[in-house]
Amino acid sequence: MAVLEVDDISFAYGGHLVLREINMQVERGEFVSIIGPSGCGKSTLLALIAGMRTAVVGNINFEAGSGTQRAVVFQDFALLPWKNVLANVSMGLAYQRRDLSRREREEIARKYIDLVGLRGFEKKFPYQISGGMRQRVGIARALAVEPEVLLLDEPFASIDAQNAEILRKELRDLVNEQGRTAVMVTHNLDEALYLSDRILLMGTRPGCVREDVVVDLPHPRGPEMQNPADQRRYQELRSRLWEHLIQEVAKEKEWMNSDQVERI
Amino acid sequence: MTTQQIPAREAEGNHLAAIAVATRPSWFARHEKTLLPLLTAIAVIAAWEAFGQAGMINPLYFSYPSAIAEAFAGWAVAGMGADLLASGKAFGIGLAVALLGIPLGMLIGSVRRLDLALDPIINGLYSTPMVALTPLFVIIFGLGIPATAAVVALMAIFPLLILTIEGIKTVDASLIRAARSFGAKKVDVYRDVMFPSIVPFIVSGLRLAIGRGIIGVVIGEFIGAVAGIGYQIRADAGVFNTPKYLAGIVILVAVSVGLNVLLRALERWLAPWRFVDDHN
Repeated sequence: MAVLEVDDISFAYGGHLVLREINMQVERGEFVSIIGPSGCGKSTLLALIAGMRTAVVGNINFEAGSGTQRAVVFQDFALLPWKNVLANVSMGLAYQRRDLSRREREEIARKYIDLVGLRGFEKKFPYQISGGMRQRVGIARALAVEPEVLLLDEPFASIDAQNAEILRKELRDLVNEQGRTAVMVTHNLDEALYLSDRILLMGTRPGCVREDVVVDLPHPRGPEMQNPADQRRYQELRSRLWEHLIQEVAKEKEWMNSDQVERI
Repeated sequence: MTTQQIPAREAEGNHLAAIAVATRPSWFARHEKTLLPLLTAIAVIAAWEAFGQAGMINPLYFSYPSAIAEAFAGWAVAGMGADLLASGKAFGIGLAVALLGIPLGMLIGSVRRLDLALDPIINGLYSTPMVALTPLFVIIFGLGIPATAAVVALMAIFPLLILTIEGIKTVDASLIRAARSFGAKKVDVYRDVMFPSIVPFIVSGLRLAIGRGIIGVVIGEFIGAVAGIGYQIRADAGVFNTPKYLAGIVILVAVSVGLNVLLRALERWLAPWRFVDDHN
């Protein structure tokens, strides 16, 4: 059985249908990305999976397990400015693992702080560290609750290009080593291709899943790929994603020009 | 691609170091933030004193620094303690009551409909000139500390209430969502997200509350008291004891400035992240 099953989800907000009959399955250990034009509701879908919003129709099922179902890494980090790195990483544990002592929770937090390379920064506050480091804290905080599914909402969009590249690689390694399952929303085609086993392409108005693309390429991907066949395949997949986005944007434009807009 | 070798020239290096040193701001420029206001204040007081010594100020209408200091010293040995105590009590009790504005504001700010319903009433009361209500408090509480404390409380509660409501409404929603997604319960959200977020608003509210509270003490004591700094100011003005009257004002200014300095330090201690403007 899939570790995460989104079953015919629909969602409306403010009188508009935002998501329509979304279905998706994520297998254990899979890395799935969701790509789509702005406003297609991909972040809303992630928020639904995260339990931060409730679907109007449909179900979201996690494989029955003892641990935490999910944890989110946010685009804007969403760290508490008044808590230091250690306290921020312990945050999820403090709310979910009240059975553990503070010391035990901090021990787990320290383990993940080490894993994201922030040893020695435990006592620093978010405003004292760089954007890249802040997102490392965000990643450590999410991993520390050892979730069945790691949810990533454009995790590298607020970080400078160089740090984003480094973090992408580190995230890939961490997820692999720990055998974590991940669902990521992104705008960045290369990021999706670099990290994912599967990419869902979303359409808009209302948001829906149009295509399910399997990324059948070995790691590491991107500029590091030496095999010409892999390089060709990468370009092929990239063009396909790009085509999809172009089409969706064109549809959006058509819709904007049509008389339907007046009805809103 | 070829890389151009840049020769290390010792002499040139020294020369540049000298230029770099020359760009260091002067001693005055480095301290101008302290020196400019300080020197200005000294100059104004010196000029004021000189006018006074020269006999150009009618002591009935106004006074000058040394005469005020003399009146201050005289007052300090005869009765200032009792006046300070009376005013301090009224201010303290009034401000303590006004602090209720914080929990009240947290409640109103987090219940949208309550906020909508109460907004016009709160703003209406905030705009009411409380001076006009002082006689009412004298009727209710009689002459004395309670009447003054009531004026202080009513003056000070509104900025605290309004800023707390504003603070709660501007809490970063993404932080609340994040905390909830990590399993925070309602109390956790209040303790770990809401309250720390509004600390700066509460401090701003306190700053205004202190200013308005001091006005409240003076107004209250003008009408409704038998002792206190405000009472004394009015009494001295009534007998044309202008130096002592101005000494009372010096005390009010000193207390007000002192409390604000204290508050600034408190804010730096409570919310250090507020003083870093860089966001990345």
